Amino acid sequence: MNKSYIAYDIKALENKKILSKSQSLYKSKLISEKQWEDIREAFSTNLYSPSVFMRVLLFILSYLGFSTAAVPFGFIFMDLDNFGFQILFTIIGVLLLFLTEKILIKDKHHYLSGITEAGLFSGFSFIALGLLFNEPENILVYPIVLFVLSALASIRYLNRVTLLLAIAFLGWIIFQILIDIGGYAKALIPCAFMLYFGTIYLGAIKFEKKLVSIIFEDFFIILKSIALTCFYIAGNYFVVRELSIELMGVELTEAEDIPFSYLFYAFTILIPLCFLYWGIKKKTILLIRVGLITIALSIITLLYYFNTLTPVVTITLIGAMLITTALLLFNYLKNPRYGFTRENIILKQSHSKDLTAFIASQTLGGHNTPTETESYFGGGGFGGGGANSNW
Amino acid sequence: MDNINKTLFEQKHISKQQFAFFESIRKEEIISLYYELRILLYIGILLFTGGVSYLIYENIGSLGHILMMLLLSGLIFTGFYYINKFANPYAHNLVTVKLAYFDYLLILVSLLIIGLFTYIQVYFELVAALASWSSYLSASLFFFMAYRYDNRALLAMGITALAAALGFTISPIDWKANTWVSTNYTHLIAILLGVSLFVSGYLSEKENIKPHFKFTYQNFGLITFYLGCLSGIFYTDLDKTYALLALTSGVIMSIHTWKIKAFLFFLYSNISAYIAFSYLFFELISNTSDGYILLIYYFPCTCIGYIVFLVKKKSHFAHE
Repeated sequence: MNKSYIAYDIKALENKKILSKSQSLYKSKLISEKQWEDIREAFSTNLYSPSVFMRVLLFILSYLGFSTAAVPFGFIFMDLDNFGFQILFTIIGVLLLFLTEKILIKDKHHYLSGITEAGLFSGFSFIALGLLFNEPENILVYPIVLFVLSALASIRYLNRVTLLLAIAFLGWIIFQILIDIGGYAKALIPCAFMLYFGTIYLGAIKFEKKLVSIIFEDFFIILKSIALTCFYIAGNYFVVRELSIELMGVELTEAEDIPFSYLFYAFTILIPLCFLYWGIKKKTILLIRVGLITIALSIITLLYYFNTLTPVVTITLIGAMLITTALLLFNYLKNPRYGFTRENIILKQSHSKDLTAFIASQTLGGHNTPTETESYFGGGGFGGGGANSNW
Repeated sequence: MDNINKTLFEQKHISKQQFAFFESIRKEEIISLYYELRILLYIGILLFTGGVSYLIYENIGSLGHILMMLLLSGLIFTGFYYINKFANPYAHNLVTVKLAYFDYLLILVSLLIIGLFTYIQVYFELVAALASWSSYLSASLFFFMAYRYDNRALLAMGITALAAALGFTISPIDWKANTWVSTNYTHLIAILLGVSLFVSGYLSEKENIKPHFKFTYQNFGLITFYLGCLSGIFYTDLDKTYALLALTSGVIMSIHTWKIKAFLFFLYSNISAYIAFSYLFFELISNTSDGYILLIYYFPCTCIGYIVFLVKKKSHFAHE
């Protein structure tokens, strides 16, 4: 893929990635202060990327500002017909995008500043509004247009949210097609989606080998995780059953069951175990994490239908089992086994003992967690994908 | 750029070892499960404590007893943990333990176990079903603890429990009147138990299995035996038989303990023989008409005589 499709300066992005990686290495005490200083000098960038809170604030303000920028235009051109409005909105959208690119990105070197995202979203929203303002009869037009727009956004502006939106819209297209065909095709929907997400996953793996670049790493991680999780959800018994009832008006009492129920039970039980097994065998942390999450979802699903104990007792028992498992694993990994270690090698970006302590004190009933070394209360494990925090 | 580590290494920012280490992390040759374990533990604690608090809040009424039982069990397990940590292995001889209050710990744990057992019985209304077994269980527990951890206090408690057990099983209980119905069997059992205990003490020394238990066994043995005999005199119809038994055994044991210089047992035997003798003497006197004159002189004479005897012969029992 030609990297010129991307709106940003590739070199600047790469440098930024190196800096953030090196910073976490330095925080984990894996490189010396001198090394860190040298790297800082060598790979300095002039990108403006404020902290998370600033980003959120800026995004909200800018989005409000940009979207309401159309209001004056609307007043001026109040007596346009439908088609006129369509052109108007589209022009506004393109204008916003143009502004975002030229001024924010090229001139002022913004990157993930909140304002850029606001510009993107408002711009593309206006374009979408413009294209779809005449309310096309065929519902299929909506997801097609939206998919194209979000795909463009994610490629050109490397935006992760629009990536997820693109996947969602493509899924909507498939869903709509199957619903429109009707009848037999409706029953195929779960399998169709499993196929769809499976293809995304395999495609992601294939493309990752082709587009080897550090700036795409996050994207592929998100892509693969979402693909696998949605692959599981598409086959999850609860999802299939409830959606059958809701979307397709299938009436089911407690005793009756959806067609192919055994298949979906099998999927619900086996898929998470397969993920976990392959993750451990191939030593891929992504598969392991997706496996754990899907196991949790499966347990919830099965308990929903087959639980005989009261919910509170179930929760207590599960809590006890989790504690036991965690302690057993902790003991088992006293020395690293097969490359798995219980030690923390590289601190994540969001690793913060204060945050851990705060969360623990709020959720575990007012205990004061010691903020010093090994405290096993509280979870500090947020995905550290690109969460830049330059205070 | 496709590899940060390689770039850093090629531009001489990191050393070769660092490069190798970072590469192994990147290629997932080393995987850290640190955050996964922490999240797992955290969620587990969250769910568990939440559920437990809710359950306690909802059921504190009936749960109070269950909690007490669980607490007792917890204390017992902790106690046993410490016992096993400090105890020495079993040996026939006297076993000493370095921990200062080890004896107390043993006794405490044993009592807790009995307490818990009783609690469970009462709470689950198993008293009627287990009446006979509970005392035997307590007795066996005490005996086991006494032998395994070499504690004479527990042995004494075991013997007491055994006596209670036998007493419970042998005497039929009048449930309606809620009283013990005493029969002849109680006294017989007491006598037999006394003899067996005494013999056990003797065997302990002879076979050299915990020879220091001998005193405890024989102490209880004699007391039980004499009490059995004496109660047999006063509470049954076979009073003369029991009296003769008490008298003869008392005399024999007096002579024996005089020889082996066991003062306490000598005292027991004396008292028993004296009571038996007095009883027989009174029976004899009451059958004649004028014998009551002798009664007046009996007690003062015997008492003074005994005191004189003791004072004169006290050196006999003095330790060398």
